[in-house]
Order: sequence, then structure tokens, then C-alpha cells
Amino acid sequence: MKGVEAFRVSIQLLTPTIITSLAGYRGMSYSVVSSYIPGSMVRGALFTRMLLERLLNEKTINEESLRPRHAVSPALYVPHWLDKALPFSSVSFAHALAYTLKSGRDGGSVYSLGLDRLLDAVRKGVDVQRALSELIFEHSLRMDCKAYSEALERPDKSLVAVFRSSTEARPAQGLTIARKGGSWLAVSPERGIYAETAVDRARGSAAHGALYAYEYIVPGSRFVALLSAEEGSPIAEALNSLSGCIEVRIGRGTGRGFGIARMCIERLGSDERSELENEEVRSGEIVALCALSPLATLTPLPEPVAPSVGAIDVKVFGSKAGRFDVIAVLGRGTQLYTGWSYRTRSPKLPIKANTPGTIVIARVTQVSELLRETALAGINELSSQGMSFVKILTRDYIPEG
Amino acid sequence: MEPLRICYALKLIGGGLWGSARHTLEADIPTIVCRHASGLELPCIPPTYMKGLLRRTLEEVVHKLVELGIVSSRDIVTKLFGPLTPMGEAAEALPSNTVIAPLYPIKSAEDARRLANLEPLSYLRSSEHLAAPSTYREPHVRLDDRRHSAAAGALYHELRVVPHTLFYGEVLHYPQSESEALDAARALLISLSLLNYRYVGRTTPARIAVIRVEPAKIAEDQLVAHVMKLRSIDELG
Repeated sequence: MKGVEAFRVSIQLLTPTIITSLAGYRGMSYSVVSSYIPGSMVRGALFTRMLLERLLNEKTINEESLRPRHAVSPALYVPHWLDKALPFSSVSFAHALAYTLKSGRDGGSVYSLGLDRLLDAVRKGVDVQRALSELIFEHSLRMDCKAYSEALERPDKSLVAVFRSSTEARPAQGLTIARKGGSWLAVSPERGIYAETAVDRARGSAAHGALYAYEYIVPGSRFVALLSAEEGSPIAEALNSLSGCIEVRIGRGTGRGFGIARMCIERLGSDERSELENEEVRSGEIVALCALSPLATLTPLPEPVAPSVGAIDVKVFGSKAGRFDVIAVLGRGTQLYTGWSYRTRSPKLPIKANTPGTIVIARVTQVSELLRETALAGINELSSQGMSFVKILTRDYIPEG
Repeated sequence: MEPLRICYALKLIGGGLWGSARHTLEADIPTIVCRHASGLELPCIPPTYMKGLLRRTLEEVVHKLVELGIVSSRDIVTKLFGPLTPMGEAAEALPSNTVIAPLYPIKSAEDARRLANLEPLSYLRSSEHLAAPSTYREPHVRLDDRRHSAAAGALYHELRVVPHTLFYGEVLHYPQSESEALDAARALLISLSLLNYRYVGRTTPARIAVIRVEPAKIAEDQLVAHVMKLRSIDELG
């Protein structure tokens, strides 16, 4: 296989954008996925535009759909304090061991229970469930002691201050997080509601019972995604020939002015690429695989990763890159991806996947050079639909609380 | 196929109101306020409104346009605005070939010409040409149907955009063939032109000016050129 070319896709919304997450009663109201845009939508918006610009033809798009040699990650929300963000580096998903404090006294910081210590314990032969429960117990005790001692050091030393210092936590898995200084903060864009009423054609006034509303992401919000393609492939060539930025349409209601966005594509520099590449791993080593998008494995039909799956075969653009034996899966359930294909004019195959941030504890059984690229190109062909991007973690990227 | 782009301006000749579900202390019925990508919040004309108006106007005259040979088929309504679905049924999932962008208030006719010479839709991200228009409260009272005088407790206020405010907007269409591009241009320009004779908001009269039509080949069409001349921005005053 040839090398992998990687690009940063920056998106700025120019009009309200509806990324439907849930359709309500008779489809009359919609709530949105706000903190990320699914990779399939990013790909759809870009390919449609490239087709219109004649940078790609229908034959290439059909070939890429059947035998993909490209990958598109979900586009993550970029907060205002980050000028230029890199997905999975300065903005990312919080993993399964991440949490935030309910009291919000630390401004929405995200902490980790300690993936490093969990991995150490598992490498020493401790059962994952036991290691995890010990970790949670020790961690809560330490957090409580720290918070209460800080409260008691306050001049008033009141019980109220002690109670206010509650360390009650909530899981943060799957939240979009952004780096600020030395810590990670949970971030999401502002949302608004747009109400409309259908017009009765006979009367020319509001139709009875036809008031409906959309939730939308406000214009001006920025997102960033990764796009990679096999060197020399038509997609890579088309991306290289794109100069400047292009206008694209994302989400629902684009004919009515929703979802107009500006997309800028630039090739990743070598420093940025090296930030995303996995560290070298050895055969037999126990590592954590962190899902940077919804995660599904092909057996050969797509299904979520679970210990019952046994092993995960990693393929980068169809070339075998490595293999992992699954030991445990830590995460908050699964999600179902359904969609409509404009290409085939039919519903897409529904895909059940682990939610972003899921951690798979696994043993490396086969290694190759391509295994470094799993955060850029995914672990199977579902990465062309914005799924199965994985970072091999040998150490935690979120600080312990 | 090169996309069809129509740049147009709309000048209010009465107070402008586009109903909003937002609650405010200023008035009972405030006009809609949009967030521009630059972060500014200002009264605007939502594209959902414009799309409804253009579709409805075209539906009313399309049979005549076909009769006169101005457009080739009545299908142009569906090609431009999508299929019509009965109330309560899910719309057919088809990609829309037309983009109707929101209209934002601008400072002058000169700005409208300048924006039309820039890249398509660039006014959606740059704020230098925007001008937040003044608004005013217009009191109304509902009449009692039997007494034909003011109904008790029925005084209400509308928040309207001041007359003579100038808005700028664009319509893009991605045609499948050259004949469709010409049909689409003619149909859209005639619909826009006819908005001079109907309300463009809640009892909101306005005048329309067509500033630019792209590609140049379409703009050279006799009918398109005639409508552009008739609805020139210089005629808005």
C-alpha cells in the first residue's frame, strides 16, 4: 500500500445548521447533535461540492463507496479560544474513564480516573473489573479528602463550605473536550430554536396543528475534522488541487438556507501528523484503544466491539495493519447509525457502534508499520463513513483528578 | 454545469415584520432577529420565508409561463423547490438543488453592487457591509366582531423594521442541464419580480431589484436581461 495523505478540514457555519439527532412527534420537531458533525455528513457535503465543481466524477465516487481509500473523521466543535485546532490533539472526545464534577466549581474541567494505573494493573495480571473498582474507590476517597481539607482550610470552616466542596461526579465519555492551558474543558456550541408554521394553501394562513420547531447550531460556530486518503488516489489528487475554501451545505433544510458552511482544507504538516500517529507497540503488549469516533468492527457485518468478538483485525485502506485480542471494553453502551444514501437513493445499512470515547483493553498480536495510522485512517473501511477511528494509548491524555 | 446565481436587493416601502416565536418585553410580536456568522444579531429576512414566497408566486403563474413558452414545463417548480408533500407526511429525501440564503440589512445600494461582485454567499461571513436597521413599535387593536369597535384587552404591539431599509440576498441553483438553467433563471426572476405586488412579510410591502445574474451566458438571455433592466437597483431610488 502507498502512504497516507492527511488533511485538516475546518468548517465555519454561516447559517443556522440542523444536524438531526432526534425527530419528535410526527417528525415535527428536531433536536440536534451539537458538539460534533458526523463524518458521513462531512464527507457528503464535500463530495457533493467536488462533484459540482467537477473535481470528482460519479464513477470515482461509486468506486470510493464500494472500495474506500479515504477516511473522514467526525468534525469536532472548536471553542473560541483555539485559533487553529487539530482533532484528537487540541480538541477530542473524552474517554470512558473521564468525568466532570457536578458542582461545576472547577469551570467544567474534565479529569480521568487514571488510565495509566488501570493499564499497569492489567499488565500485572489483575482482572480489569477488579482493577477498575479499586481505582474508582481510591480515586473518590482521595478526591473527597482533598476537597474537604481545602474546605476546612477556609477561614469560615463551616459545614456549608464542606458540603459545597462536593466531589460528586458525572461521566464525561463522548463529550467534546478542548485543551485550555494544562487542562481539558467540556465544550459545546450555542444552540437556538427556530419555529415555523406550515401554511394552509387554501386559506393562505397558518395550517391547523402545523407549528413545528427546529433546534439549530448558531452561525459562526467552528468545527474541525480529519480527512485522509491513500497517496495518489483520485480523492487525494482532488483535495490537493482544491485551492482556498469552498461553500458547502450540511444537514437538514439546506434548500431553505440552513446549513450553509465554509469549508477550508489544508494538508497536515509533519509535526501535526506526528502528534496523531500512534507510538510504536510490540506484539504481546497490553494497550488501550480509545475510540475517536463511533467504533464498529467488521465480522464481516458491522457490530460493536465486545469481548465476545474475540479479535479485531486492523486494515488501513484495505491493507492488513495489525491484530488485537480484546480483553475488556469500557464504555457507555452503543449507538445506532442510520442514514439515507443520495448515491443509491435508498436507506443505508444501519450500523450499531460503540459510542465515541469507548476504551478497548486489548493485547497486540500482530504489528506492522501501518498500525501507526489508525487515528488518521481508522481500523477498517467504516472510517470512510466517519467511524472506527482509534488511537492506541500507552498513556492517558487526560490528567487525573 | 456552472451554478446559477441571482443576487438581489429588497427595499421596504412600509414597516417590515417577519414573525418570530421569541418572547421579548419590547413588543407582543417582534420581528425575527438572526445571528450573523460574525456574531452580530440583527433583523433579517429568513430564507424559509423567501422560499415559501418564491414557490407560491411561481406556482400561481407557472401555467401561464408554459403557455407563453417562457419556461418549458411546469416541473420547474419541483426542480427548483422540491416535491410538494401532503401535510403530516415525511418529505422525500432528495438533495435540494436550490439554496436560498438569508437576507441581511445593508447600508446602501452601492454595497449591494459590491457584494454581488464578490464570491457567491460571501456576505454571509463578512460583516463590514451590514447595517443594523432601526425598529419601531406599532400599536394595533383587534376589533370586536359584533360591536365593530375595539375589543376589550386586545391592544397589542408589533416590532417592525423601519421603511426604506435595504436587504441583500442571493439564490443559487445547481442545474442538471443548460435548458434547466435557463428555465430556472427565468422562473426565479419572474417570481422575484412579482414580489413587488405582494407582501414579503406580515403586511410588509417591498420593492425588489435584481443586481446580478450568473453565468454571463444566462444573463444575456433576452427575457432575463429585460427583467434585470426593469428591476434595476437604480429604480429603487
